[in-house]
Amino acid sequence: MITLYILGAASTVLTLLGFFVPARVTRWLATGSVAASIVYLFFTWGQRQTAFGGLYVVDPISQGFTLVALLGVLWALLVGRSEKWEFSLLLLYAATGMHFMASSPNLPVLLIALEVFSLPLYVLATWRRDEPGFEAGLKYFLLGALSAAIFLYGIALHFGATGSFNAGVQGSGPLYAAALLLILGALAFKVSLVPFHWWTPDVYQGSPTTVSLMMATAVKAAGFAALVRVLNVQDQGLWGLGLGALIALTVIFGNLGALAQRESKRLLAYSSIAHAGYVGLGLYSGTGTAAIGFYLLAYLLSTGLAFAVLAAISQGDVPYERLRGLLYRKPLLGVAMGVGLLSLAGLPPFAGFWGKLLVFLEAAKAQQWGLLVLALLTSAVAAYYYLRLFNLVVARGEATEAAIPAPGAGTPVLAGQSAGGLSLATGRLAAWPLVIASALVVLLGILPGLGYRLFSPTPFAALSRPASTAPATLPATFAITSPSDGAELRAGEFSLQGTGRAGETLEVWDSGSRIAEVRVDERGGWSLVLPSLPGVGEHTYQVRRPGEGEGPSVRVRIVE
Amino acid sequence: MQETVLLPLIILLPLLGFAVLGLWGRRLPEPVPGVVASALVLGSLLLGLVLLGQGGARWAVEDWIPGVPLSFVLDNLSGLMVMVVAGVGFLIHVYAIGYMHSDPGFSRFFSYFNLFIAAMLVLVLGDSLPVVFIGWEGVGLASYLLIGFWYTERVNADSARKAFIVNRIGDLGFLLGMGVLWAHFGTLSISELRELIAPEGEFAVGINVAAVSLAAFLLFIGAIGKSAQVPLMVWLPDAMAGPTPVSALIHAATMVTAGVYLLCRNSFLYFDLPDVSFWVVLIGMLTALYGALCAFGQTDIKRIVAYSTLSQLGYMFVAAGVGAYWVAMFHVLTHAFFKALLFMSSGAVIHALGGEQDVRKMGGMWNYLPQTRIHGLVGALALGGLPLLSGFWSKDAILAASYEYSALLWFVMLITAALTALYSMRWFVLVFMGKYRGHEHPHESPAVMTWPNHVLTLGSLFAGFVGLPYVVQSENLLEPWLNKAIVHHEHEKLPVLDEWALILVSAVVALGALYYGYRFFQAEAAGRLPAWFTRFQEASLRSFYADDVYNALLVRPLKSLAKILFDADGGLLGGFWWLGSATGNLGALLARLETGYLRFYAAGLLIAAVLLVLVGVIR
Amino acid sequence: MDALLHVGLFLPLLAGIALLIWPSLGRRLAVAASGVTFLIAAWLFARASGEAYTFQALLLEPIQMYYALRLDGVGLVLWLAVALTTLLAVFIAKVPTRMLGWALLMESGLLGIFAADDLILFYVFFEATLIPSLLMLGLYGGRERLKAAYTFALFTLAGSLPMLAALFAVRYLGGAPSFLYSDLAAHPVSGSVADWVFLGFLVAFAVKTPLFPLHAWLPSFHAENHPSGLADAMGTLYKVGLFAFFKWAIPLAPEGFAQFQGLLLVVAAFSAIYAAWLAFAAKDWKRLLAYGGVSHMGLGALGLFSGNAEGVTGALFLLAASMVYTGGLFLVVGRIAERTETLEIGPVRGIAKSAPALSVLTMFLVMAMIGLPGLSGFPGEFMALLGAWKISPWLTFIAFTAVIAAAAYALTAYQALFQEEQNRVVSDLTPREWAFAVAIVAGVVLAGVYPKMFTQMIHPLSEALAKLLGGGA
Repeated sequence: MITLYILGAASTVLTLLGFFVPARVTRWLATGSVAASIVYLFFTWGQRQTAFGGLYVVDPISQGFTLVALLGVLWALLVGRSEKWEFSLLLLYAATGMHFMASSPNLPVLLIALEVFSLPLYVLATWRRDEPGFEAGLKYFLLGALSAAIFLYGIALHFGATGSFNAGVQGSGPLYAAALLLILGALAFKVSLVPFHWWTPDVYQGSPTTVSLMMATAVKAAGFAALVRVLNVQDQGLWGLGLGALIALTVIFGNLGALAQRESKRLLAYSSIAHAGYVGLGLYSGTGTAAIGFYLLAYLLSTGLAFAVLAAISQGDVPYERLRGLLYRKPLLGVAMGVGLLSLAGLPPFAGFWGKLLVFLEAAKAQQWGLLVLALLTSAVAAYYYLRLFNLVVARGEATEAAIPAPGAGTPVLAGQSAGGLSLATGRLAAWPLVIASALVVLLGILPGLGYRLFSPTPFAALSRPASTAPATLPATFAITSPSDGAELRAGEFSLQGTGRAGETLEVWDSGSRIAEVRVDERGGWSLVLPSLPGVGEHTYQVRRPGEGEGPSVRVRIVE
Repeated sequence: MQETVLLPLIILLPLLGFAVLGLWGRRLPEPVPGVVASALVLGSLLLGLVLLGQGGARWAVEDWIPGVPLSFVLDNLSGLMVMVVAGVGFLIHVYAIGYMHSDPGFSRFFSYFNLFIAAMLVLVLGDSLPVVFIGWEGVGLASYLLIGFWYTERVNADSARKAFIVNRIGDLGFLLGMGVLWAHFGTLSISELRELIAPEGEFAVGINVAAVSLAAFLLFIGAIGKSAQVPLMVWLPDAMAGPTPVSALIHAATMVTAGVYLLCRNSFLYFDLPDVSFWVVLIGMLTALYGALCAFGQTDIKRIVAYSTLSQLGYMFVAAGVGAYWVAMFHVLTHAFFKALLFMSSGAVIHALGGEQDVRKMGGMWNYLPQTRIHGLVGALALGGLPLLSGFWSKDAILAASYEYSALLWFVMLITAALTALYSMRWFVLVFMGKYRGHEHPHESPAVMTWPNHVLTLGSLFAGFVGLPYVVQSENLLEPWLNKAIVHHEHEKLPVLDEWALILVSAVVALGALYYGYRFFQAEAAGRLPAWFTRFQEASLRSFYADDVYNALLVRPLKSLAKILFDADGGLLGGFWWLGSATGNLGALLARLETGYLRFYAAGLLIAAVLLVLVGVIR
Repeated sequence: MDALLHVGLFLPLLAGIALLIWPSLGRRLAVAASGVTFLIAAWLFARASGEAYTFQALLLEPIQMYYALRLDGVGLVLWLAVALTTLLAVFIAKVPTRMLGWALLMESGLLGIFAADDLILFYVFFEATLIPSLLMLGLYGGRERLKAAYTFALFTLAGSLPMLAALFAVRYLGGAPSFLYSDLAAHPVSGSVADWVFLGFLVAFAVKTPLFPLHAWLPSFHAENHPSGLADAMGTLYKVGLFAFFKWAIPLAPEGFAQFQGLLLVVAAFSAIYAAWLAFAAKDWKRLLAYGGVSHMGLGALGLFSGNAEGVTGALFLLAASMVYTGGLFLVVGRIAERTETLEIGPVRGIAKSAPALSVLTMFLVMAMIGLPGLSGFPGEFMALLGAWKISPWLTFIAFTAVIAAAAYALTAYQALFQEEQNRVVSDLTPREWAFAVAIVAGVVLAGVYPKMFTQMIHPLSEALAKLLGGGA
């Protein structure tokens, strides 16, 4: 709640204050408030809160995704600076919108939040005030409007089908499916899932690099936060196929398209499309929030590194050749770029690897083998283009400095470089984020648990609380709650549901053979769509703890 | 039979010599490395004799590799080989002290020599086939090193390499043979195998004869390679590139007889397998004949002797093939004496002529080399089978055994014996008779080279008396002694009259051929030969084109194919790259969808939304 | 003991990072670190009691992923081989100091591969090792290094990603509660899933064995690497495919293995003979050794895929032994290249005259490579043959014609460089090289003369695998 207050208040106050104080002060204040929000987030981590009659919810989703989004904004604030005070302010507006987006289960509120953070972005996209900049801004704006319309239509249908504006309300029927998919499409636009991705390469390339950085990181976090809520629907049949198609198209198009690029920012645009596809894999299992969160964090750090390095070189285009030998000319930039690229490629021991691993695991849990294999194959393709950049970065000097249109002989690359009124942070200020992010990428690569825990339902349980006070309120036992014992059921028309200790894994047995494994969710419940249709007759479903021979069971009769 | 760690010591002595001389030999003044090496071999010999006198010995490390022990056994069979290897080896070592005098690689030479002896001793003492194989390949390595001793000459290096590679073909047979035995009997220890396969002097009940046959056949291929039998005989004549003592040691006394030894050691596989034995006989017979024919055309003094070695090895294989294993070993023994003698006499001649090896530039040595002439004469006569000399007795035993097997075989072997007598006379006449045709100043060798030859001469004269035919001595020394260690069929002896007749025939043939050869090749020395014989010699000189055939049919096609494949492999990588660039092109195609036109994007977005909804609704 | 395990595993990593940051620390640090690592490996080896050294700590609780190490007999033997070769490599190779740092990083990765007992941890080490290897090639390689680096990286990654799918499948379709080896092995997958799982593993490990046709990256990898041979030696250590088949692919999907066994045997046999043949046409030493290595791994693979105890033991022994002698040969070739300024076979001849000890050392390692009995190449090759013959005599015959070819290509190349008319005078072994020679000769002879020391560590595990496959000993 305080996060929202800080961000909201800072936005409002700075809008007025900006007229009177220098741009520098505005920037510092904006940065400060975002940082303060992050600090506050940490202090209240794991605490749940509801406000405005349920329109605003602070829960793990809200906290995790807000953290990623705010970090993205913070980074953009640190790296890019403008003599115009509106720049920082716009970023602050966006941050507010993103936080709300991550913290509301209410569809109309989500739409408003979406617009709140989109509008500043439309403006920021044009910040360079040149032809490509305007083009980018216009495209983003018009297509964004279109997607908002789709969103709105989806909300209408959703209300029609369920009578509720709340995301995650269960429903059925074609109307409901259409609603879900329309909302999915609109959000897919924000996170750049193919075929809603059209704007991405053009806008990333046309926008100032700092802004692209934020689009690639913070916007995705906000978008996926909403997707996680919207798709929290038991019946995967409604949206599974649609999402699957999007993901398949996304990983193919993103990765193959990236192969053809010759300009770094555009490449990262395609890469961000591809990564959106991978994140999408985490949506299937219903337990993937933490994995998605971790992925986005890892992606934020890695792609942030890449964008920040590009931003240090130029706010405009950076053809590949300009990266040649970067490691020797600017060791810090070279190392940061190298770490970022390897992490993006998903090589251990960098954070990007664990992100991929975790979302892939979720897909595996949900038995999405086809998508998984496709994602893996395209990852191999992805390795190629990341390694191409990587090789350039470490290539020993065939191309000389002369190949690079340096702003002046002897001028360090990190030095201020004006581009459409947007200058760059210089010296240490820009270097520290690089160092910290690189270190975090490596740290999370070695100890992924640190990051993963952040997004778990009880993030600091193991750290801050003694083990004895572990949630005793949750059921210590486990059981099957549905169907009831002795019920007569039709094959394919029921699923098994039950309770257990949050986070634990249970095995489900059918008449003595193990058929599946379920994971108890944060609320202490689990459900299982039977992997294959049971035959007609008596079935005894039993749930066991792994390694134990017995457990509660129900006997049901399956009829024609 | 005792368990004793002294047994491996027999091997370790020369191995020690190899290591010490190899590392520090160059710092020692000239005769020292030779003396040390010889002394170590002598030590091995004496130790072997002592242990043999105590009734043999064994020594083993279990599970050297899983299921296979590192085991050695000294019984009568391996004892005989130890005597030959270390005994004759010792003499050759001593001889080499003189022969290798002032060679820059003096100590290196003796280091290799000791390595060879050590490997050979491993080969003969091994009681487990993989251990035998260590020696088997070890002698291959040593001979490779020794043949290529003067490696700066390309032809020497080529010959060494050829020897190693051709031997490896046989070795593959050996390896696979072990594979068969392992698969079917689960052990590779020779004594265990013998217990399993032929416990009571005949095949055990229910034994898989097909597997035994296959194993026997594959091991036989190994023997073919090592003993330079047809068709793997091509390496031996080329191996004459090494220094002469090498030729004597490797290609006469010891290494090439390893194949024969292998057959005898594993006689329990062969003795009751007529099919496989038939092949042994056939190969042996062909080799005997082929070697003899090739010997006629050679102009290199050592190559004549080398081809005679081929031929004599053929005799030994025939003996083993017909089941007379002790006779094969008997011939190994006598052959070791007279063939080493022939090689070392040749060496003495070469030494006398300052390195000349071409018999056409020799002649008349009778007048120059008063001691070597005796050695050469005795060696040639023993090889030619002059009655009462050692070669006569062992060859006669082989002929008698072949007669029992088949009269036709006997006849071919008899013809070969006649040829042998002829070419041994050719060798002798061209080298020692007539006038000297060269321009050097021949001089007799030093005592260190002649004394070993004296000993070998004695051996060539009298070694045959340990294995006299039963009509002469009802129970000779060698047969019962060896048969303790060899599985074989007991069979009826030939009737006395037949035996005498055979002895007589072979004596007459040998005498006749020796005399005729002595007369005939005086003509060659004088350059007056019938035209048909000259043509025959040309073909014989080129070994009846065996090398050319192998080059045309095998070596060159394989080499060209290797080149083609090498390029194709580059193409394979290219193929993978093609796959990569195809993916890249597909990507470029997809990337062109990003046209930049807003209307296109908007349409795409809407169509996508509609399709998505349709998917959801229609599902 | 646990502490030693971790120290051994991460000491090279730390030393490597230190070297990358402060290259002035120099070779001494690299030698010291890898030396200590070797001592640790040797100590653990000597103190081995039949029980594996193990350690477990939960690394990522929600997915039940452990930092789990298990150093059993096979792992110890391979640790020893890796540690020895790395020590020798950093000791002898003349390279920029930072490159030594990368080599040390790689050593940690390799040790991790052999010690990991959690499938994800294994994957992490397996993949992470790629980075230093890639960087050594990309930073210090020859003219075509970038292309070679792509090829290498893409083969590796394209191989590993199907493995990742297999890794998920083996847990979630097999129903294991964690990624620990013991859990996974207790819940093997079956049916067509097993086929797919095995296939996933197969692609990854075939690249790293390497087996035809996935060996295609290897020749250019070696040909383009730094001429010193350091990277090649480390690359040789990275050929961990056989081990990975043994430890993971086969036990986790035995049914899948059974499905593919026939095909694999054929591929292994073909790799052996095909690569040996190609080696004969190679015009430079590195390609020759590269193909020779493929050929030998083909023989090893034949033993491993035969699935019986002796074949498996042979394969693993061969793997460990070939790490040392092939690595050693690469290093020696590097020293020769430094003297003659070329890796080509042909232009320089007859150098044995001026460098006899060098020629003997090379000959020794060549003989080890072509499997001369009494040296370390033989026991493995031989056991592989014994095992393979039981399964398929014909394939064994075909594959093992490679031993003939090996003699042909190795001795031909040796002859060309060392023998015949001398046309270049080079210096003989330096004291440092003598030390190298003594160490490697000792290792190779020890393993060749007394293989029992190593086979007794490996064999019980091979027997367990054979039992799992139902083949028995």
